[in-house]
Amino acid sequence: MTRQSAGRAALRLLGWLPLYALLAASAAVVMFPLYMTVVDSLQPIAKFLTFPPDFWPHTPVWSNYRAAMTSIPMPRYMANSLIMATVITVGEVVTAALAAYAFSFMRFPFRTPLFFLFLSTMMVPWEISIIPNFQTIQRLNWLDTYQGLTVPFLATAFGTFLLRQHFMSLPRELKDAADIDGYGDLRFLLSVVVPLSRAALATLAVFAFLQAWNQYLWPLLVTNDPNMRTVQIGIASLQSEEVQRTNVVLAGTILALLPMLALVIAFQRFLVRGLTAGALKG
Amino acid sequence: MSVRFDHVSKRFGDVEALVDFTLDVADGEFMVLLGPSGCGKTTALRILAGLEEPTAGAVTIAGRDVTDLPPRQRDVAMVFQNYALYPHMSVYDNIAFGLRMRRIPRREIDRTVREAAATLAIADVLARKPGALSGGQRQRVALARAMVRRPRAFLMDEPLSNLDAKLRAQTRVELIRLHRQLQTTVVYVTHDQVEAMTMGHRIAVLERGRLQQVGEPREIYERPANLFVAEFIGSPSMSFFRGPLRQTDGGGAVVDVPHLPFALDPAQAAAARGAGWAEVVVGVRPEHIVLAEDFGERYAAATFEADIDVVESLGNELHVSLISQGRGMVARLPAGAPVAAGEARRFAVARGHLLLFEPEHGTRLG
Repeated sequence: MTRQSAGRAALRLLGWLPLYALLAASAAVVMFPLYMTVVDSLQPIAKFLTFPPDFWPHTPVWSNYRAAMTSIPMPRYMANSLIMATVITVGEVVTAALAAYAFSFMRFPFRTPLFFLFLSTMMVPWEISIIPNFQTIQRLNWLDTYQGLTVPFLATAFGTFLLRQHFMSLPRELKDAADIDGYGDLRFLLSVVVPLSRAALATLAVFAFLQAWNQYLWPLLVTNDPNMRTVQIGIASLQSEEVQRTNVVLAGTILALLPMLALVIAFQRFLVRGLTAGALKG
Repeated sequence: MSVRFDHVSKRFGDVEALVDFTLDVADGEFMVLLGPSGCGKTTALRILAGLEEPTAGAVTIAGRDVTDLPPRQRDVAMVFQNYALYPHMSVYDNIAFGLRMRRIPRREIDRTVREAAATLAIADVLARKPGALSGGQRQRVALARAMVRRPRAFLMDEPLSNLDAKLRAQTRVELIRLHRQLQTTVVYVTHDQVEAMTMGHRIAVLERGRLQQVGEPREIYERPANLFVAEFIGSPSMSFFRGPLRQTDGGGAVVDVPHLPFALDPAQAAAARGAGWAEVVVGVRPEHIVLAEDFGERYAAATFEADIDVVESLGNELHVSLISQGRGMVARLPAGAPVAAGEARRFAVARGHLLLFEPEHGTRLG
């Protein structure tokens, strides 16, 4: 009996083996470029060009990072990116929550058609509206300002869609009960809907932040003042600044990546839950 | 406080959920809205709560027209079928939630919450989240939440339907006790006739958005206004037989159901004649079908031979499905009655208990 079940357990483990091997191989493929970026960012420039490449920084050159920080105003760029991404994230989450609330809990004429109209804007690539948006910002005299960097992104159909889908999964009776308890829409949103949607809100916040942080084209268009540039543009200018020292550019890339990495790790619990929400009601 | 539906109608698109519904509920009364699913009972309750707007008509609470008031200004409390507890809040906060909107001092809220929790025996779970409670406890939390508001009326939407049979019976008794203690008007929606019969001071039976009958449980059972109510109330259901009305010598009358003629009492016969009906539907409750051998023929309105199809023993009584001349019916016999499936026996229908209905519209005679 025990021998049998032990044998079965071993067999089951054997069955899992190919799957885990495949997953490990995929992970290695995905992680390898990142790993090499970290390694090369710590190599002296001489080592960087050798072949075959060195897979381990035997004498880490931390000065590459200092160089990346000083050869362009990196702290300033990072601060700008941080401000921009934070404002966009907060704005997007707030507007999406309000709009999603209206589309899922309030009754008004043409609610569903309006929602689909709203959704259809998701089909329009951002690049198509980039020119009119630029003209608007220019006319408002918002070039080289934080408003110019952030306002076009404060409301998105994607965020509204994501949250609405989640809000729709909340029991309608909660709204009825709150109505009878005397809670208005805003209070119901804040004291019931938001606490019950933490995972979805966190997911949206992380996506919004990631997207904002990684923006390149728009900040490039609306900022000329080096004081207003963001970190992604910083990396690009670092590239032209440090043509000779690619490893310094890589160090800069790693620096730009760190806040993202920290954020994803901090929120990964929510992310997994947010993305699988609805698959399994819990 | 008294509650009144005044010619209330509600349409959802093409569906008439409630049609010209008028009902008066007295102060302190326990009124049950009873009917099959989709009959409009929940719609009526939601209109009373202010969660739905009526298409026509008015709702008054304590004599005041509240038709255009939002739910929070109507001062009613509602208990929902699935309880609708806020899952992220503790039991305590769930109960206190409605009070906090009313600028009641914190200490007062605390006292009220603990009092209600003690009454409903949930004082020991106040710190827990609803997810950690049993169905019966959630039910009590939902009741406590309604109770602490000291509303003008309790609205309950099938509050017991998610409980298992035993707990349901127990909670029914507790609700009756609670109502006796609080003396607050209750409007209670259910499709369960046992709940309706046991808890309601009066029952309003609805079908397809229309009020069929309002009355005390006993009245509804004994004198159903029409065929629908007669069939819906009572378990097992009444059996029905249709036949032409025929005069007999000596002023009597017979409902001439093929192979199963029912002799009418003189008074009933006179009434049927007076109404000028050509055909009638006879309704017989299961408890009025008995074994003929136990029964003097002269007390019988009809006797007939029937095959026993199924015998269901409930311990204290038997529900016996019969087939006679291709017609099915159910008899309720005492436990230990000498019947077995497959047998053919003679049965009698007790005199004085026949209900007569007009076949077209289903209205009851008398």
